[in-house]
Amino acid sequence: MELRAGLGVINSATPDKPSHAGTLGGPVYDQQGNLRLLTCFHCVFAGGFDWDSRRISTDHPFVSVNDNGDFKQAAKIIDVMRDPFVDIALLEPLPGHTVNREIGPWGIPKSSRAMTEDERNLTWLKKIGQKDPNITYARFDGFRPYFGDNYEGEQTMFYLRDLLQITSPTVTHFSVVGDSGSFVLDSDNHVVGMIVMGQDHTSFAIKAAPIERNFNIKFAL
Amino acid sequence: MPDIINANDLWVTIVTILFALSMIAERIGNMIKLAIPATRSKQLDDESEKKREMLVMIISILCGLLVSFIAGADLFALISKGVLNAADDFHPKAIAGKIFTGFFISLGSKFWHDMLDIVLQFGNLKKFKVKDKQTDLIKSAQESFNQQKPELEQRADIIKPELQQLQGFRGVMIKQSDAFQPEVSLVFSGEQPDKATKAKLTDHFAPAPVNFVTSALK
Repeated sequence: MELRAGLGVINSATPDKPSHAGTLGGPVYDQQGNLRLLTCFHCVFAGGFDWDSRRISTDHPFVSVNDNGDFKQAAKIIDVMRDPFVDIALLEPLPGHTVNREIGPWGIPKSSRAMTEDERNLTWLKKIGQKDPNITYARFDGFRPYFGDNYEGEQTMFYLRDLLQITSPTVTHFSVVGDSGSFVLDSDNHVVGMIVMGQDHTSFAIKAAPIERNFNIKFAL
Repeated sequence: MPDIINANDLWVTIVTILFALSMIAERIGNMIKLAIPATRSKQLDDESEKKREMLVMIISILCGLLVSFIAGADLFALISKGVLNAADDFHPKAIAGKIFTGFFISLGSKFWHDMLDIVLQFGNLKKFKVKDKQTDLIKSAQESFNQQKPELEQRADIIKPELQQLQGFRGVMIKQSDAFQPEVSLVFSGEQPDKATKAKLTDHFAPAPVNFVTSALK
């Protein structure tokens, strides 16, 4: 199948739980220039994983991608990481599956870009997620020093730091449950972040820079 | 001056004002004493010394009264409201209050300095006592939480297979409430379970309160 940004993704061990599915964010390139895919770690978390280490579950290393309603095993988790700045899983397509380098109607994304405080309320951001409406727009609303939630199997809140805050108009949501992993792009198609959490009309995204730094990858060649 | 003042702060205010006024009265008294030859230095015979002491005391009281009237320091207004001036300066009670203040001021700045120390120390002692009591309460609440937590975890394990069948279930959190009591948070992404399921889950963890939380993870 063709793996493209905006498709639902879930650990192959839990295909019966589509409510846990996240979004296939989009293509990235490793140091050798190989095409990889990104999503959130919490979207593909399953038994055998460990939040605090980069240990890959040997029992459940595969993910399934939504192919017209059916989740089909299509990629392998090759790296995961959750630290105070990222909650990311790096995926390698399985043989027989291709990666579409474009993101929705916007084409191939450009390199990452760091947002600045001056852009608050001025810059519009967009994303493509797996839920309807999959394409949404909202304004950049500055930075959130930290935001936390209860991760599966943990007894305490885990806080992610230094997130992008994106606020949508009151009648719509920039992201809904299942949109984690979606790449967030600016109007010039630069990748600025990746959706991870949200509350009411505010969505929070991991910045692009720590993702590239931690996984030694690039959003564009 | 704040509208609401607690008892200890009120006494600190009163004693501080009297201390300041007593310093002024003392300085004026010393100037007068030095200006009058009969009070300037100690007398050799007892009789003259007693007379000198009496004179010094009268000067101190007069200075106290002078300062008290000039400052309008009504002792009754100070004690009842923590304010320096009474509403009506010429009311007999206000005049009596100023006379009393004058007498108190004449006790000297050392006396009021010592008094201020005592009042401040008493205030600190009370604060420590309250703090100790709070620490004890938090400690006992923590112990009680630690005792109840394993049982709640056990109950969570029992019902876990059932919870995992629920749409959007993400996890269980057992934590302390703001009132330091144990409470159970059942985390769901998006959809929440129906009323009957919620009631069943609440009963399962009773008497611990159960919160149905929507996960912020997208």
